[in-house]
Parts: sequence; structure tokens; C-alpha cells
Amino acid sequence: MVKQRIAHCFILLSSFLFSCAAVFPPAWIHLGNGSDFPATVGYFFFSGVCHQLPERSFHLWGEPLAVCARCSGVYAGFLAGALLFPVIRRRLKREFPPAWVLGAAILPAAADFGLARLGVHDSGNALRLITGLIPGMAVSFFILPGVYEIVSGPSKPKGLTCRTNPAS
Amino acid sequence: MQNKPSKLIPGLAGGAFIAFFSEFPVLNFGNCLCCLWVVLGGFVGSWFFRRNLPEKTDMTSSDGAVTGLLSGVYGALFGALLQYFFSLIGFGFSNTFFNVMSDYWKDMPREFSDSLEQLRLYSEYSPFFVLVSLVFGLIRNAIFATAGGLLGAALLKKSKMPKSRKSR
Repeated sequence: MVKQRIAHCFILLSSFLFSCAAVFPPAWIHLGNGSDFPATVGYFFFSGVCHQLPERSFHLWGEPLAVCARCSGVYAGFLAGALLFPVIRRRLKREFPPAWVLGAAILPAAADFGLARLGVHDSGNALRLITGLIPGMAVSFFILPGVYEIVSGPSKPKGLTCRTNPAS
Repeated sequence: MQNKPSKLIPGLAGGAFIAFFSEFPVLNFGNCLCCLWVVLGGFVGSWFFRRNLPEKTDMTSSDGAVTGLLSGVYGALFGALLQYFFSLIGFGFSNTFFNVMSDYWKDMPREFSDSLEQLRLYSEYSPFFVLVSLVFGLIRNAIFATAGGLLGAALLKKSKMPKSRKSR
């Protein structure tokens, strides 16, 4: 149990730091520390993860974040899911949620992306954020039980507990 | 002690998947959806590992995480080679990054634009830049492919175990 709590704190801290890293480049430009080179490197780091189009990103002090609105939602959703997981876990009947939960969580983002691509509607940054929050949160409900299992060993199915022979 | 197959081959398969889809021009835009190819690469590694498991052996989350991590590391290494090849023929990922930055970010601060130009010069002439891209790729892939591997383990488990009483 203690190991699980430590692992949970580690996941929370690392996902918080990763989210903060996306805020670092505009913050650095805003502070105006002479050279903007560290901010450029920050943007370059996230360029492998996100398209970084400024019109699809939230802005901080007039500069875009290093990731788009949907990716910001995914990271925030993961963090929120990791925070809520201990509460939700008590209500779950199984270690991992069923696969359809992940599919259902991705569906709004996929539909929004697809419909925007087809020109049916123009999704704003608020909708992108919300459709990112849902899968981010769902993914954390699959990742965290896995991390718990790694630190404390796999749980045994009910009725399959190993009985030792009292005679031996 | 259960005999489990090696994670090397599934890791290589996942790595090849990541490198191909992340570096191939046009296809690599899939990574703009929160590192889609990298997460899927970790999942593919997990799937290959699960396929090679003996009949009565189940996959654990640590198997998924390690296979995902290996897929990410191999993906970054193979990806760096592919990136070098594509940059030689003018389709490098860094070119895409600089083009997106300069084409879409119209009101870019002057200092930032200078830093971007500085980075562009580095990317053209310095092997150091290749190394930095590789290190960034390793960090990104390690995070996202491990998440993909963990997701794979959660979704591909033969038995979805109920919660053990101890872990409550």
C-alpha cells in the first residue's frame, strides 16, 4: 500500500512537471531573460508530440503554449484522472476498466477532429480542450492500475488462492 | 517462476513501427495527435509479446511497460537514422518544425525569431543537433511508448482480474 502511494505521488509529480514544461517556453519569453534560445528548445522538444499551430493553442502572456489546446486537455485530463483515481478506484469492481471505456473516451476527440477536417463544423479551443480532457482522464485509469500492479505485484483472481497442505 | 519469452523482438517490432510512422513524411503528422504512433508502437510491442506467451501464462503490467520502453528506445534510435536519411533528401522533421513555426506564427517576437534562426543554423550544420534530437526523442518515446505498453498490457490481458482484497 505504501509502495502504491509512493508510485502514485511519483506519477502525479511527473505528469505535473510534464504539463509545466509545456508552459515553460511562453513563460521564458515573457520573463525576457536575454536570449530566447531555451524557449526555442522547449518548443522544439514538444514539436515531436504536437503540431503547435498557434491558432489552435492557448496563449500565455501573448505567446502560444508549446502544445495545442487538445494536447493541453490530454495532459490536464491525465493529471486530473491521476488525482481522482484513488477515489474512483474504491468504486470499481475490477482492477482495469473495460476496453470500451477507452474507445468511448477517444470517440468525441476523433469525431471533433474528423468533423472539423471535413468542414462540417469549426471546433474552437474550448471544445478541443474538453475533447482532450476526456481521453487523458480515461488513459490514467488504465495506466495507474498497471503502475500499482508493477510496484506491488499482480493480484490473484478470487478462488485461485494457493492452499498449502497442513500435513507437509 | 514462469518462463516468459524475450522482450527484445517485440521491442524491435514496436521500435520499427514507431520509427517508420514517426519519420515517414506525411504519415508523421499522426504524432501530432498526442504522439499517436509512439503510443501505438508501445501497444504493438505489447501485442507481439502477448502473442508469443505460452498458453497458460498471463501478461503482467511490468511486461507491457518494459516492452513499451524498449519499443520507445529502439524507435528513437531507428528514427534518428531515418530522420538523417530524410533530411538528406530535404524531408527532415526539423524542416517541418521550422516551416510551421515561421509560416503560422505571424506575430513572433523578434528575439524568439532570432533564436529560431540560430537553431535552424545549428540543425543544418551541427552533428550536436542530431544528438539533441536523439536525446529528446529518447525522452519522449520513453514516456509515451511506456504508456502505450502499459495500455497494451491492460487491454490484452487474458484474464481481467478482479480486485484483490489486500489492495483495497
